[in-house]
Amino acid sequence: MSVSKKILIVDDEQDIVETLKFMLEAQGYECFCAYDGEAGLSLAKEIIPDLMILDVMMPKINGYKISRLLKYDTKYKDIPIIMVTARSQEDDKIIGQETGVNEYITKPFELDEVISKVKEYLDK
Amino acid sequence: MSKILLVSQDTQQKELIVNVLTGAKSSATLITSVDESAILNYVEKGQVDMVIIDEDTTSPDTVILAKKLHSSAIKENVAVAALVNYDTCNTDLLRLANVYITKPINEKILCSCVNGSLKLKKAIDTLSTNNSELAKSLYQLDVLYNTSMQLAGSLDKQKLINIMLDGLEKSLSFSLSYILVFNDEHNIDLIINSLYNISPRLEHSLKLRAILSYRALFDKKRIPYNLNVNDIKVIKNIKHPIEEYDLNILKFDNLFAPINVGEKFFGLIEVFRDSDFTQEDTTCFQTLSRQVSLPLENASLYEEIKNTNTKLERLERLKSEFISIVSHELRTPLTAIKNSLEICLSGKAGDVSSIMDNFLNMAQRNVTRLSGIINDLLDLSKVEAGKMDFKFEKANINTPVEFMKNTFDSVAKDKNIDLILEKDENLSLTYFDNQRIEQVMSNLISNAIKFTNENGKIVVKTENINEADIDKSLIFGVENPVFYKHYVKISVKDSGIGIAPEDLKKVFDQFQQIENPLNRKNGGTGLGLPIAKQLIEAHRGFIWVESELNRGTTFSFVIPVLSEKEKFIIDMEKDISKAKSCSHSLLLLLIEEKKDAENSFISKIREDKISIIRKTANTKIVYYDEDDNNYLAILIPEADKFAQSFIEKKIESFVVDEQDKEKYDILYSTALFPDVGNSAQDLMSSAKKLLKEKVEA
Repeated sequence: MSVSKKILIVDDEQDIVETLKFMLEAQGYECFCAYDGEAGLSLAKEIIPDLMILDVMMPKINGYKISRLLKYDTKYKDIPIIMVTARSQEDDKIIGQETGVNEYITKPFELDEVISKVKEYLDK
Repeated sequence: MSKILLVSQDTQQKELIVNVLTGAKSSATLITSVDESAILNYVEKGQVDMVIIDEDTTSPDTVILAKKLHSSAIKENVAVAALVNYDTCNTDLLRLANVYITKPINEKILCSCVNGSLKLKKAIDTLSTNNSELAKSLYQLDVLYNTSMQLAGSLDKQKLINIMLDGLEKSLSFSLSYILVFNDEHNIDLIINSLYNISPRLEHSLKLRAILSYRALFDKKRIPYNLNVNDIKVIKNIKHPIEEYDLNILKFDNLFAPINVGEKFFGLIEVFRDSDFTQEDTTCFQTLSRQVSLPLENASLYEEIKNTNTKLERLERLKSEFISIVSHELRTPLTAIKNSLEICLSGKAGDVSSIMDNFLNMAQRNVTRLSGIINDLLDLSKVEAGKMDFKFEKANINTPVEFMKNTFDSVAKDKNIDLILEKDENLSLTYFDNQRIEQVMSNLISNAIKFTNENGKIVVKTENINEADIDKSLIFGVENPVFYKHYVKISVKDSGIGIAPEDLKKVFDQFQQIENPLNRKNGGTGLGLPIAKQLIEAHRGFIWVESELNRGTTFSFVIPVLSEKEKFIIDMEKDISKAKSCSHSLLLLLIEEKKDAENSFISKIREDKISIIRKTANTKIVYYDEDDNNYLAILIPEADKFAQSFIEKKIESFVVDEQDKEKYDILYSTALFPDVGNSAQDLMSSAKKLLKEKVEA
């Protein structure tokens, strides 16, 4: 692997970001982190990651809004987005469809589950 | 004693008359006058009972005087007698007088004439007094009746008091009234209704008077509240603020009554009036003040119930919200713990000794258990709040049952339990949510494994049953259960420790885990079965349990086998209850087609995917057979009268467009919620009725 794939994790829960980062880096991905929606959005535009892991409920800009903003921009619309939510999936999937979210993971999640989903998108 | 006014200038005659009338045979007082204005004044004010006019009086003119007297004499019921000369009497005077006496005066005739007139006057007076009293009583009765009618129709405290006051004012026309109303210990209203303004010191003394009257009602030791002047809030209604009442009003005649029902005390009322109250007034007052008590008691009871109800609703909502928020908040830290454990266990963070691995696994197991508990809590709060979304699909329930049985095969094997599935291969198709039925099955099978000792046996069975096969005595905790003809029954029978008869009813209660020696070991939230009950009931099914201590337990549930039409009506009811809460309307379009129709219009519409109808995401379409006819029922949410006529026109034009209208043997009708019916059955039957009318027409 010449250049490792870039993953952006946006979640206001630092502990969750850290564990995710650890496991993804162990898989050989390069990880970037942001702890609120605003920082996440600007970082996404700056680094143009290969994949994003987004939390729904965050300060400043929520996950759906970020997803919508990126998916409507031709420059970023191809970035796969995995949404992490503490709410029930049924509620979220409806909103998610409209905002272009690719995958859902409900808290509490298994790290293996996240990694296999990430691989699905990045190791094609 | 009667008063007689004599108008005469003849002094000799005057003396004679005075002698006769004030003598032994007639005891009247006699006054004489020839001053016209004085005479008129006497009569107008009704100060005399009789006037005797001598024809020979020259001044004033007797005829003119008689004319002037005439109307007020009738009004005040004053008898007018004329003293006339037999031959030359004036006919005008004779006409105007009630009675005449000829001159020269015969004492006896004069006497009987005057006495007769006076007696008549007295009789008429009595009659008119009686009459006016009767009219007043009648009016009071009318007011009483109206007031009691109004009182019976209200549950609002303030309104009740106003109605009573209105009734009192109409029937008694009092000058001032006050009502002391007890809302609670430090919230007491003094409502003063007054004709005129009230001076500040009168207001203060009314407060004190009210308190004193209140205290006087009770034994010293039994006073319900200790009243303080500062706790009293005065509410004043003044009719004519032009004048002012002062303390002198307290000298007016007054009536007083407490307002109470038995031991329950609501307040007291006192009214003042410048004229004295009669016996009838008193009765009226007492009746009214008594009549208001009962509705007041109802009102206060109603208020209590209402308050309790709102409180309960609030608590219920708070509980649901609390559970939901707490569960969400718990999930995030739980995820971090779980992730960390996973990293450690993966060995990627460094070597893990076997002892560490053992404890890390233990931590992980318990985190998994904890998240299961949180999920249970969330599920329950959701299903209780009616926020759980179900995806009902028509399918064979054997599929989720078999899937769950297979999932637990290895767990059962670990305990050396024989887990058997006896499925009916010809099971009817039912409407159910696959994920939820899996959840229920998982709960029942894992419970069975938990409570069955090693080498035991668990049988999972599915079968078709009828309503009559259900032992309804086993079903409880369901309000107004509705049964359908056919069901599929799923049962999980174990050979476990069993449940004591007294505990059987508790198993579906929240947080109830029946005391048993294995309790500790078995863990769990005790929420699994309550959730299962709610989930099954959301499917219109029932769940129940039968058990024998130390022999085993059988949990069974049934899901109704619904016809398309029944399912449609259930969906309709759900839509109606949704529509009720936000006042949306719903439109039912019913199309009927004879079974032997040459060309099926219905299938054509279906093929066209109901393109002729305004179709929204929530439109429900059902096709069913009944009495040799085919029906297509379409439920369109948020459709109004406009949409109704629009759809009718569309169908009309669709039929007309087809070259031969006769080919399509169809009829259609619509029913609108809530205009036509408030329930699914209502809508269906009124749509059917319209169809029938069209057939007949």
